[in-house]
Amino acid sequence: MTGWAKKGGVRDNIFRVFLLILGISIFVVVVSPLVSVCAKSLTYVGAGHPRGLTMHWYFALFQSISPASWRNTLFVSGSVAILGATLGFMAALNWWSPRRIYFLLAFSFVISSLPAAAEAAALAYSFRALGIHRSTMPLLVAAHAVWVVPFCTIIVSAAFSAISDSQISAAFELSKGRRIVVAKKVILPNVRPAIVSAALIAFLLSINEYVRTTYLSGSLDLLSRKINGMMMSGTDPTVYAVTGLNVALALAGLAVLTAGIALSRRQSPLRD
Amino acid sequence: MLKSATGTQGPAYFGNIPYWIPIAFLFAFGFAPWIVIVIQSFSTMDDAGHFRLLTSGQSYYEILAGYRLAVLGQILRRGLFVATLDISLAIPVAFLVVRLVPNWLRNLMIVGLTLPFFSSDVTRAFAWREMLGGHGFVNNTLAALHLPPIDWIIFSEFGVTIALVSSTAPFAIFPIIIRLATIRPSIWLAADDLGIGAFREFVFVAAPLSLPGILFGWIASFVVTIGASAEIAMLQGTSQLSLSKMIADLESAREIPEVFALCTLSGLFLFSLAILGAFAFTRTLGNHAPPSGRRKLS
Repeated sequence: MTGWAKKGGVRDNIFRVFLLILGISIFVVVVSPLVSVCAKSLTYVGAGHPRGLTMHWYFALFQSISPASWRNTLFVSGSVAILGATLGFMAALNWWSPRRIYFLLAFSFVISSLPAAAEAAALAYSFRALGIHRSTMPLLVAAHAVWVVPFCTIIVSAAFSAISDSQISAAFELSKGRRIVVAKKVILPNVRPAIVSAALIAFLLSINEYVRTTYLSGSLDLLSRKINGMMMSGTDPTVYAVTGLNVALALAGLAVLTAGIALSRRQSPLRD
Repeated sequence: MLKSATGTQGPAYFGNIPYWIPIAFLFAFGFAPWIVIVIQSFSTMDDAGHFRLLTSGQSYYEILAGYRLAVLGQILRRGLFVATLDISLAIPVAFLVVRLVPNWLRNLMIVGLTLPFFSSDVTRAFAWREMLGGHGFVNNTLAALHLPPIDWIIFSEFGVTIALVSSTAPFAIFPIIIRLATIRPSIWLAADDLGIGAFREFVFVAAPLSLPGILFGWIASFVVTIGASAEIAMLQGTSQLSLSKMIADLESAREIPEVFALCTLSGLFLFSLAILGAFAFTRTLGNHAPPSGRRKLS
């Protein structure tokens, strides 16, 4: 029985209704702007054309972005996804020690919470001192990866909760203590969906990130810079399609994340 | 053998390499640049772009004197206001999600509230500009009701606050949801058995037990608000007050040591807050571990 179905006095009922109205209001405030612009992206508003559902602005968006922009973005965000998921997996391999996991999460959280503009400026100027200048892809990848590591660690760590002490101990016994074998043959197959989810989330976060990208990309042609420019000017209706695409990607990321973690737990033969 | 956080002994399954590689990466690309910045903030730059170290804090004086201090004060005030508003909305909403609504509504609310984490801040700010603009949803609705349009909701502090609250509220709500969801079921059962009702359960059980989540949520939304730039750039009009705008302005004026001083000040301030947040975060997560176990994180 949920709390809603429980009997209560007048005060409790008023309180529940108040909470429900507040919750729905917050939900609407968070979701409605994105939904409203998505709806607009699917409605052709050009002069002299009938209103109705259309994908016109989405086609226009894809045509307006240069191949170099796609290529650079895929390279940077793809590298961030691989690096972020790898570091997240490594961090999660410390699951047997909550102290280590908490320290890693806390350290990465502290770094990620610093203002993006200040962090990007710090990276750009300090690496310039080492002779590494802006518009260097590895620098951009590193800056994005630092930011996505806590997310990847949390996602992969969640999948590790399906692995039990006794079975890992047995795997170590059977493999004569070879860590690589245990990681490759026992742990990796069980947490693979979560690693894929972490990589996709890292990819999504990297594509959406524009403050660090603006500071560190120099003259590189990247999707997020172009999209940011389009949105700031706001004159071209294809920006509605950008919003629609972003929300679709966000929902896809969320679905993949949920499915990945659920699959990790369901598939694991190591569940308690 | 290592001693774990919960005090139980466990084998060091994968040794130190998986621990030190992420730490080294985070240190090299996340922490070390700040050390360079702190040192360079005590320098001056000549016309050729060469830095010369000074013992005085001239650049800090430049940042903390005059109108820049006032701007920083306004940014801080906005952060305090938005974070406090977020947390005061988040506590009852988290209680509603965890304790009162049926499963389908809980899942729907969680998915909806997660959306800001995965969508770009520029996209969200743009969506708000569309909603609050002259021909946006709000003014169109007013026009349909034969009411005069309102123009102060956009390109004003009001518009920025609304957009920031909608972006940062989930940062305040989720830590409290996690905290409440991991409270031992026996506590809720005891509350039910005592028949104390939803209101008293909220005031005397849920609110006190969710304190670490409240602290983390407040800090997270404050930190995100202080670092926000897209909402301010799109919704505040010409007089933008944000850290990233200040940094960009100083960079265009070639006042690089002042950029470093501003980065150091904001970094140190948020760094200390984030450490406090990390402490609250470990307390929030710490409740995940069952009394007899030490590995389960979720």
